[in-house]
Amino acid sequence: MSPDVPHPDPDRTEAFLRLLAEHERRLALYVTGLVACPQDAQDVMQEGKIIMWRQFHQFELGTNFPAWARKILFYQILAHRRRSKRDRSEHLSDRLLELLSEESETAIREQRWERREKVLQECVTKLSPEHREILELRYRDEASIEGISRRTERTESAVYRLLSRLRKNLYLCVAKELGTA
Amino acid sequence: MNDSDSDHLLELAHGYIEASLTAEQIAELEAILSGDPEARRIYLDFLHDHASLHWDHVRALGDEEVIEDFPPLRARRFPPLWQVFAAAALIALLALVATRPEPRDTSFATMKKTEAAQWESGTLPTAEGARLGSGEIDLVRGLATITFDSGAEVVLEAPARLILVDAMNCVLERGTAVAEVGESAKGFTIRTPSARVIDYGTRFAVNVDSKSGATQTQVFDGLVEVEEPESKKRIALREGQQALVTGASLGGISEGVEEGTWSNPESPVRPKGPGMRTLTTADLGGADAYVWGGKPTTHTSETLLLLKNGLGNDAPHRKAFLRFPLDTIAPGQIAEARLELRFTPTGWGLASHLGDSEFTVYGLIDDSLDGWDAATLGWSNAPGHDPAGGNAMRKDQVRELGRFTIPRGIQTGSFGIEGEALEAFLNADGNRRTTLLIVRETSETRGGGLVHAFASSRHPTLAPPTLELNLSEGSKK
Repeated sequence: MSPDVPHPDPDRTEAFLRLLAEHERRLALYVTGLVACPQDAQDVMQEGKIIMWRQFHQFELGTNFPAWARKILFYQILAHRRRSKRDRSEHLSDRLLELLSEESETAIREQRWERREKVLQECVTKLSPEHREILELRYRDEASIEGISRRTERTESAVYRLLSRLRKNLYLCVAKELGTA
Repeated sequence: MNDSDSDHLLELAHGYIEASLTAEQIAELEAILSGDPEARRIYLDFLHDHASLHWDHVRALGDEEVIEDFPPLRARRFPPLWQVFAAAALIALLALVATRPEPRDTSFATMKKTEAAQWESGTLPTAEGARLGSGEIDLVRGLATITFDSGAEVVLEAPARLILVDAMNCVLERGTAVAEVGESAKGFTIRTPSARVIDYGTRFAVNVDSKSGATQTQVFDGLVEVEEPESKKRIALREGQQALVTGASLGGISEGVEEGTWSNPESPVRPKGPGMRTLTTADLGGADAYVWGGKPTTHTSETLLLLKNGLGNDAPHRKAFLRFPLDTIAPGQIAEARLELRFTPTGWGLASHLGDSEFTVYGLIDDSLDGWDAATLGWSNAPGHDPAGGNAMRKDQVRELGRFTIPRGIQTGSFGIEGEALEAFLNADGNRRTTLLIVRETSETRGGGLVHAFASSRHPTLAPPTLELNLSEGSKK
């Protein structure tokens, strides 16, 4: 196709795509946990996948791909924050982000989040249809608080509080099920 | 970390996700997390729940119906690669690398939402969720909400043409834009053919007249500067003030206009035969209003007439009343009549909670009741209707003149009735003015359903409720 493709070796390309397909979702969750904003996470993932592809020749097949990818993504998160026009006071600090990244590595090693995800789905089904609707609007339709407020005839502050309560309740429900509360 | 500590931490984490924390609160969150490994664990678990809700959507729903009820507003911006066949991904990735050796994302804005939008040829994508770089969009109908990465949000009201320059600058060539600019986007500038409007953290509206290029600016809250580019003269506008820039002159500041006139009402183009007459509720002696009952609601409108048949007697209900003066038309002179109402979205309630909606037009029989006052008309004193329910009527006081249906999901367009029942009713009117009632028959299937609305005589752009009449030459048909 083009001379810019760094890995003309089709086996290598396939290996990359297989690894990426296998781990992309968990990588996206890792990034979202650190940047909080899903749109930012999507941007970081997009940039990160390109960097991973460019640097894939440095990756040793058979070693830990997600750990290698997370290192790249962590630097992409820092780079993304610097590029963003948002003020530094609107972010947690880079130093704290490093601590959080370390804690993420622990959680991944302990497979803590895999257990959480299973239980989280159960907790979601326990919500009332009305509350599930709020979560759907927020997460599936990516509606803003204002959008949800208009669509559900609630005030914005009521939606903000309700969403906070729903998130807390889900967190507590999962903690209770896992016996860590 | 005790329960109330962790509760407070989760509150802050929620605020961080929603980007609603103050600098002080972010500093507080930073301090809590920096000093306590357990706090970091709780915070990250909470964020991980958020992340998996986002990436997996809200799955494991109880019933199919709920899924059906909520068609997604838009697809994910980047479809998750793990759901795509490796072969397809290979092609996509190679194409990405091949065509963009320096893959720098040049987009700086997102098409956040479109409502009843129709587009003319522009250079930017118009799908909801699309990322936008520099280019132009041309909105013919409806509304479009664009969020800039700087934090500014612009709602474009058709007909309008906007050129996106970068995350802090755009050019409004014509039409109306309502901008909401947060702290992060202070200095966000909308240029127009006759002015530069610089924003300092506020909500304001700009209108550019398509013929003269005159720029009207109104500030709802905060502070805006309007500059006339030739003279570089600037004025500051504060909450409730507005200014008009025409040609090379910067107009004075005027105070407190609640609803500006943003463009000339669209006059419907239709052949006007010698016998054609158009009456509207904006005519002398005309009036329009809506009444509401059931559960109190803050969703009211000055410019729209709202219609709703809520679920159960306590849900919010709304019915509309129209008065047309007939004094210029002799009794029996009307050969054909058509009532036209211009519907437009309210943004309130969910369209998915409602099927195809049927509306009935009633005529008020008793002429002595035509004298209602739009300002004082209320649920309990409005004539002809029965306050018992969302579509209940006093059948002895009204006559059904016709029905029309608005399909599910449609909120925009001209709807109304025509036919003999309407003609006969208008021809027989004794006091030469007539009251028509519009009622939604269809009730929502669940609470929080859509509120329908059509333009009143006070709507800034849409034509008021209209009676199109074809008059016969003689006095009788």
